[in-house]
Amino acid sequence: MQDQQLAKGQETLFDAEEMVLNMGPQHPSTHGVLRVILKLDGETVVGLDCDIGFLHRGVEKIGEHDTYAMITPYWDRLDYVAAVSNDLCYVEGVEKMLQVEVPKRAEYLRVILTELQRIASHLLWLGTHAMDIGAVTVLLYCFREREEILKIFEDFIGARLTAHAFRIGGLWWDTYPEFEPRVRDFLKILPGRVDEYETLLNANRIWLQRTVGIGILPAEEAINLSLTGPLLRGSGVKYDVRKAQPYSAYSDFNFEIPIGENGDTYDRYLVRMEEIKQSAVIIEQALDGLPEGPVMAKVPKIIKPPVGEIYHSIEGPKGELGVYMVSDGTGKPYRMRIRPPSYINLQSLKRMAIGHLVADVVALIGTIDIVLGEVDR
Amino acid sequence: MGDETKDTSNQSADKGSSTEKSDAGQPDIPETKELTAGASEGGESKRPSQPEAVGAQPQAPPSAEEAGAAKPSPPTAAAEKPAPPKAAPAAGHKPAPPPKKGPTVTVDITAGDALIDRIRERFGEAVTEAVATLGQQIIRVKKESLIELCNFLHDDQEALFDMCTDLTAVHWPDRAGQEFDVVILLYSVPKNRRLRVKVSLADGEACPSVTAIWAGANWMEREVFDMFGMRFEGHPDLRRILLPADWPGHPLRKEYPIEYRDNEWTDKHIEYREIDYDTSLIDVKYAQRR
Repeated sequence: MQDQQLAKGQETLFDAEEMVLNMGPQHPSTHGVLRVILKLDGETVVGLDCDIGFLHRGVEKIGEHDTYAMITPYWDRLDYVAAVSNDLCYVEGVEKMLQVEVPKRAEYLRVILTELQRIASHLLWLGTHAMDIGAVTVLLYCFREREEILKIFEDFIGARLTAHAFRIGGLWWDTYPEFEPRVRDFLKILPGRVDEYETLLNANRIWLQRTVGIGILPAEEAINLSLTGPLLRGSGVKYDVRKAQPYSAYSDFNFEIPIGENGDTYDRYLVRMEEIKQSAVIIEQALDGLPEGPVMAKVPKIIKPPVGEIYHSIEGPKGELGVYMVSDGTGKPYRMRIRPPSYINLQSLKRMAIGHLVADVVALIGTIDIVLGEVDR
Repeated sequence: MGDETKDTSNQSADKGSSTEKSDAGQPDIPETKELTAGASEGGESKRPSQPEAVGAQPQAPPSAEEAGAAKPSPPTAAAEKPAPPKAAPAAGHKPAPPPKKGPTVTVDITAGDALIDRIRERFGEAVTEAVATLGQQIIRVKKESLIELCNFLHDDQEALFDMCTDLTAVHWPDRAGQEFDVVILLYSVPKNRRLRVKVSLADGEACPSVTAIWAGANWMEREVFDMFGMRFEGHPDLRRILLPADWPGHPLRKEYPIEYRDNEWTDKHIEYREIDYDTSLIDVKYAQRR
């Protein structure tokens, strides 16, 4: 609305003309190569456009030319700070098509790894988000704990970032002997560390001023914008794929879905902090009930799902990560569509930023929690 | 549209969550073992402070898979699908073998599902197909009725599909006259239920935009336009989104080859300059700086 008024030549603040400002693509607060074109009236945002695609690699096109097993590593590179979660989505989608039943032990290990990955992803988000707003200390604290998770991944999977443990039908390896005690050790230190972050931020006046009341999204609007994940739950909608349509072994565990009340940046922060705690609760239960047995189901060497199509989604750290696959009965997918939560959530930036100050755009990009590898695919 | 007897395994899945309006608990579905993981929990996600309800739900993904695996449709049902899948288009890079049709997992939805029945009753001939694949429901609608159907699905008290989870397209170059499928994946937060709506379009035909109903479809439609070249009538801002504005072609069309397509654009935009590396100079500068 304000946009249109300006176009008609109405007066702006201080009778100045509106100004177009480029944020990015090489801006540190855009978390990668996101270019945001801002139209400003003074310091207030009156128009916004996102320019994305700098990292486009055509993963969906590549998917049509590779066999089902060959595609999996590409999924690691979508949301490269949550590689394990990405793999889970794809691998389970193919298993659903093949109607393969994964061994219980593999499912539990998958849950453990995915929840560890969620904690790692949220910690990275918290650190960078806080640093964008000006609290540099938090980043150092967050990376300390994230490092522990990455070490566990490295010893189990062999990679820190593009951890590729899941195969169609289960896991490639079983765990190593120290895996369980190490995860338990981590869970022991985590609550104290989360308290540390909250001490740094929860009642921090600067933090509150920069986040409370910024980017308020009412629940109906959030749903209409197809938002998922902490962004939607921060607006008070209790939608979590893990509960709504349980996949893997999530129906075996008790955990809560935290929701916010006001739908602002601060609430989304609280939701994510609570999710870290809930993830720890899930991991603890999964470790307690970890069954013995094989970690790999019998899967044919050449994977040819029946003719048909599937949509499978999981609750990734950023939101609902989905895969829509069409099979024509051959060894390669006829079409593979990725539902990228970052990409779809990024749409809401325009809705949230208009009316706020330029500095708030930085906070809003942070609160959406985007990873450009997934936005651009 | 096909055999009425063989499709009992999947279509009962979403019945419970659509009929009951009040609350979750146990949906009153007679065949519990045939529930799919998809839509079985009713409105549970909406209820606050119910942490342990999930463990009590009897239906899990394996049961759905067993149900699906127990009664696979015979391969002949693949022929009834109006979208006969072909392995490869006429693209040079792909050898295009004759499509080998495996067993299909798609079955028709016959009477019994309350919502699908309502849709059929209301739209009649406009709904050309209603099938379930692995327990996931798909309806195909004529292009003219798409907006009306979407409005109905969004507003109707028994449907309430308030979220457009995803919108994408599939290219079927061998299907003359309906080369494209636009696939809209809907989700209902209050009913915890999914539904897929498909529209078939000819090459070059424009699809009605659903952005007025679900604002979230904006970028999804832009991406389909970018990747398939399909126009959306009524879209507020139809531009390319991932690729540069002057990119040649639309990559996810089947005739678009996978290799060497960026050269043309790169040659146009990136200037190559001969750089004379005078290593001695660099060394000197480097030494000076230190």
